[in-house]
Amino acid sequence: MNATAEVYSLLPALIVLLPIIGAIAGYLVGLRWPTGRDLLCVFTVGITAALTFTFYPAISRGTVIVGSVQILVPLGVTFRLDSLGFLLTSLTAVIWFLATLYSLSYMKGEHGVNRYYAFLMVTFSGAVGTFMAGDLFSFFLFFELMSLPAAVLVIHEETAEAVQAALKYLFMTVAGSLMFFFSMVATFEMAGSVALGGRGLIAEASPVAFLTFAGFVIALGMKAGMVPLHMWLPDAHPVAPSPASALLSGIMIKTGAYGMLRVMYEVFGLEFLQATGWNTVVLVLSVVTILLGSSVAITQYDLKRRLAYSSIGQMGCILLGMGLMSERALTGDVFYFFADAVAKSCLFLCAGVILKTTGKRDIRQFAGLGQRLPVTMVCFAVAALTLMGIPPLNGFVSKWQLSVGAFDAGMPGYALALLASSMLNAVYYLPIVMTAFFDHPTPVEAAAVAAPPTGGGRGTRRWLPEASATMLVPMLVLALGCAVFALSPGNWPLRLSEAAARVLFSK
Amino acid sequence: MPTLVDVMTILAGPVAAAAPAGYRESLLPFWVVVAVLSTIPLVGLAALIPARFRAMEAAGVGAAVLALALVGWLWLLTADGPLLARIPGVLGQGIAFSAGRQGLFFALVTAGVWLAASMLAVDYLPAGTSRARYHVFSTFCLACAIARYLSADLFTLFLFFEMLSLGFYVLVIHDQTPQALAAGRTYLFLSILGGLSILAGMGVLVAITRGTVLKPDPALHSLAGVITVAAMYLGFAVKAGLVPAHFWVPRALPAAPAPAAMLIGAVIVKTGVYGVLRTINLLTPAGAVTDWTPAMTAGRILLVVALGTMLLGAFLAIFQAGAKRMLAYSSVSQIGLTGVGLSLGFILADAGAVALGGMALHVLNHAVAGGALLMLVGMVAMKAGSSDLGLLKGVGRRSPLLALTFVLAIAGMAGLPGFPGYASRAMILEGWRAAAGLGLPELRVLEVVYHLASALVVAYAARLAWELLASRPGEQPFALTARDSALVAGLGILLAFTGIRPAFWLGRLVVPFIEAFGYPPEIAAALAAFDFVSPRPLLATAVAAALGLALFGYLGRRNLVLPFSLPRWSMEALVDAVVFWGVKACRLAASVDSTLDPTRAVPYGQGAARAVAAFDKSLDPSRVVPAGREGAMFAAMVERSLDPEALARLAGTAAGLATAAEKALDPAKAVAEGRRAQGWLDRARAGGARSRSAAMASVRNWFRPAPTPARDGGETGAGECPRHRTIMNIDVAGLMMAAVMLAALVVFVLLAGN
Repeated sequence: MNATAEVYSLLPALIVLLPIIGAIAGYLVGLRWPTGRDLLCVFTVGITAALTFTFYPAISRGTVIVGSVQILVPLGVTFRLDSLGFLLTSLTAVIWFLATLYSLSYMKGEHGVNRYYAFLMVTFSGAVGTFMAGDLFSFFLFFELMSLPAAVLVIHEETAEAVQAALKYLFMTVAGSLMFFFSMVATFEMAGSVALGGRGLIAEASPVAFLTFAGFVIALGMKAGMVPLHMWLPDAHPVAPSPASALLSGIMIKTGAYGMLRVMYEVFGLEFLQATGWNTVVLVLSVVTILLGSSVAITQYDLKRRLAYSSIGQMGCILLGMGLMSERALTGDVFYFFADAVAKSCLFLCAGVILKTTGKRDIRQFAGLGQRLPVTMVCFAVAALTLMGIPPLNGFVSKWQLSVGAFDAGMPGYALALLASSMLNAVYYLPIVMTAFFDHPTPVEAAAVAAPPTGGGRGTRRWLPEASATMLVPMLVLALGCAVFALSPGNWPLRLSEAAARVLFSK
Repeated sequence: MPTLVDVMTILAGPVAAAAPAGYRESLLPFWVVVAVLSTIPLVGLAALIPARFRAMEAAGVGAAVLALALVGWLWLLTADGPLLARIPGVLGQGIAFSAGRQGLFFALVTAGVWLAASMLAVDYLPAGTSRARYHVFSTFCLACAIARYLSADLFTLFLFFEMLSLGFYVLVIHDQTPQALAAGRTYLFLSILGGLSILAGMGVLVAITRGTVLKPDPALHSLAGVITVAAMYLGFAVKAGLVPAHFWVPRALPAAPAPAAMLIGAVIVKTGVYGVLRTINLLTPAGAVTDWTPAMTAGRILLVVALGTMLLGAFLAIFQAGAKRMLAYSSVSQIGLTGVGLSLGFILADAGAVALGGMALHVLNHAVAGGALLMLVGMVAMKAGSSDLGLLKGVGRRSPLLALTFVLAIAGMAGLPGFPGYASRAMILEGWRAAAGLGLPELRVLEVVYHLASALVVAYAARLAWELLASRPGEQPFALTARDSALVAGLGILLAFTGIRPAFWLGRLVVPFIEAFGYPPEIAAALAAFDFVSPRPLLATAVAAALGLALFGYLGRRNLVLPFSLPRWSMEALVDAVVFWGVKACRLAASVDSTLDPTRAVPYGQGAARAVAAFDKSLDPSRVVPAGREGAMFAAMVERSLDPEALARLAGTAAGLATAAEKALDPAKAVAEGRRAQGWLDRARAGGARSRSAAMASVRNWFRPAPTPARDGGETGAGECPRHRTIMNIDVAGLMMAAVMLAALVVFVLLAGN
């Protein structure tokens, strides 16, 4: 067992607190001065993101950051930040920053902007808190802090279907929370502790232990969009404003998978699951998730709905990776969190530009968009290729590690599921790109290309007329992120993924 | 004085010690790839220069020249052994490039053809299409193709294979017509499927050998090894256009613009051949294992596939109406021929060097002859506005230079002696001769099939020559520009040189290629001295030519329509079926998915909630208030009844009763009472007699008939009224009477009892 150095720090508490303060301050400022609120929000998220990166030197040395705040006694809120938590926290912070930046233009002139930003920030606090939680109780706390305010983001448009979707989301979330609470209590009863970071809390296989496991799988699988608990996802993600969709699909569903990972490796433990074989539950459900999510995505023609179903398929791959129980697969899996978060957020941001500029949601009407929105569509294509697992992009690295991990684990059949996922991804992503770039547009669309653009800010500029810079820059950064990390030899997300997998396997 | 090569070697850095046996560590292959890749943005930048300067086209050609020069330079550098460049960390796994002569041979051919295609692209891209896009993606594909041949391991190879597949899609659909888009889709999805197959094989390879190095490994002589090789073979066979995955070639090639069509036929399919070669080579003996059986078995399987490809391609080529489609099938059949050489090379073990050499030489020959034909047909088809053979009739008559080049290329395709294509066939025939020595009966059968297929090749070549050169010219005006003439003349010289001096290429390119496989040196030496003009191949060629011409002569009188329609189970139908059922499966998944929607449970939930509400209402305590009240009243009554005062009162009453009873028991009183009762009885008897007579009178009254109702009042029901009144009157009286009587009776009985 490696002696891992631990450093006590209350910075995680500050990181969680800052956005909440920002939310309140932003709301109050926004009542009088919208520009000030915009600046404040971007600034707060930016500062928070910068703060998370201050952990990097310590984390890269293998140190674990711990901290606790004695509120809500007797358990208290504890923080524990290891390489896995750090990777996801910093990823969350960066993507949130980009999405907030994107919101500046996207939300301009929309209703309820003040409310939107306030809840965006509270959700942010919950999301980073979830990834930094040091025990199940804190995890639960932050999980709720993220999930419930997110309903306000879902309902933002206030249309009938938004209300419907938000209700569905809320009910399923609450049901999941209750399952989580049950399992958490059961864990505490059996193990006497709910602290994460160990090698497994529950030592003995019993019916109650299995119920606990099932409860966790249901609660976290619900959040992660695991079939058959995914039905809230394809309704809730498309109706939210695009930057919020990007965060819902890019980050928030990852918290469910992240919780599952912690539960599998730190509440139950590697040896325990290998001995009992309960991970088969997750494996089988994840294969169903991959196949069902991807196949249904093919039948969807609403872009954001297709992306939402695609998210379900990708989450299947992520859940599969953690169920394989091999170090290489877990490396690929953690990197998959990263790759999918970057690419999926990019896709939703692109969908937002398409929606905002052309009003189009139906991908059959995308002919000519490649000429009209070149930057957006190139970003879209890059992100889509990433998710298909085409080298040399991020998605390939993770799929490769996952496949080889499946062979390492002696379960090559699951590698076939990953290959099928890639093929299905190609079937539903490539036609979008092909239509946008190569199909001949209808005369109306051709005229729209030729005419000076009208939407998207000061459109009279000669350069980058398709959208304002605050929308284009986040997309470009994310699209670049899809390729840069895979190609650069000093790939820190991958290094961190390897470190995370090593820690989970070598303790 | 140091040569340029020495200087560059020094610049490439010191030779590391850790290189695997037989390799020299050097970053040169990597820098070559980087150099070729870096031309892509240059071509893109050139697109910004006004079109009249033709900067973009120049940059495209320049990139191809650079690639050819760099690859040629690497070829010279690797005389002493391959170079290896390892770049750790990229894509997590690390990638590696090596300059070995196996890959460099293919890279040279590829770069050469690409140069020609880039020159063709200067003038022969359709008007109104995006030239910049073509040139950028063409350079991108060139870079990927070169990098692919310089890959040291399967991981790197796969990386560039996928990039090439995706990039080439843009060239296939360049015209953006519906046909081109459809062909592009077929190409792209097949490529991705093939790529996934390779990926699967690669996964097993890693599981077996802990790495992805493409070298023969004893660990592969196992079931897992067979799976690896099979999966990888399938992936590469798709790219090579081997049966049954050949059908993307005749779809994509005619739809692509002329330079891209040339690349498909002459280069792209060969990337697949190279992959198949490296794949089967994995099974050859290595280290302690000296068993050739796995490689030979793989070779025999491939031989059947390759012959099938050759036969089918040649047969279908005869019946095509369009020159491009004919050349597409021709490419398929020539790839089949290449595959035959390849498989014979493995079947014959160490003696297979000659067949493998024939394969390599054929790759070169077909790149020259097939590439030339595709180029010429692309030129004339573009000028004519169609590749329909009917419209291209007799184009050769318009220009002797064109006609001569066509003759050289078509004769090379047919494999006539003295033309490019003959020398490689002679070597493959030598391979067949050696195979006959193995004494395997099925090889004799397959050899006959091979000769038949060769005859079919001659037949379609003859038809192409006949249509283009001999028949009467069509209406289309046609003239070669000076630049065209130079290009055609250059091609003609290359064709003639390749045809006449096969030993030149054999010695300089093919023998080093064969040496890189590690054959014994004497075999390579024997190969270098191969005699092309021996009677056996000449005779075989003559027979095939005669058969082919006879077949064409026989068919030429007919309409040259396929004598039967393609079977419904052809690959195209199969693909359509897969798509059809795939869509169905997705729809099914969607409907399954919608059944999972929890909102479907809402009505049931509401029903349950209503039931609960009803139950809930039943629990309402106010419902029990009346019953409670009654209970309370009862309780109050009971309580009251328990009041001692009431008891006392009751006791008092009882005592009073008792006193009265005791008083009533006094006998004297009873006598007095009895007397009084006697008096009552007497009075009652008298009263009874009176009332009896009165009663009898009233009963008589009762039965007296009612007065007849007035006739006129009958309808209003007034007739009942009198009787009713009567009854009422009688009734009250009678009832009162009866009651009194009853009471009297009771009193009587009571008293009598006493």
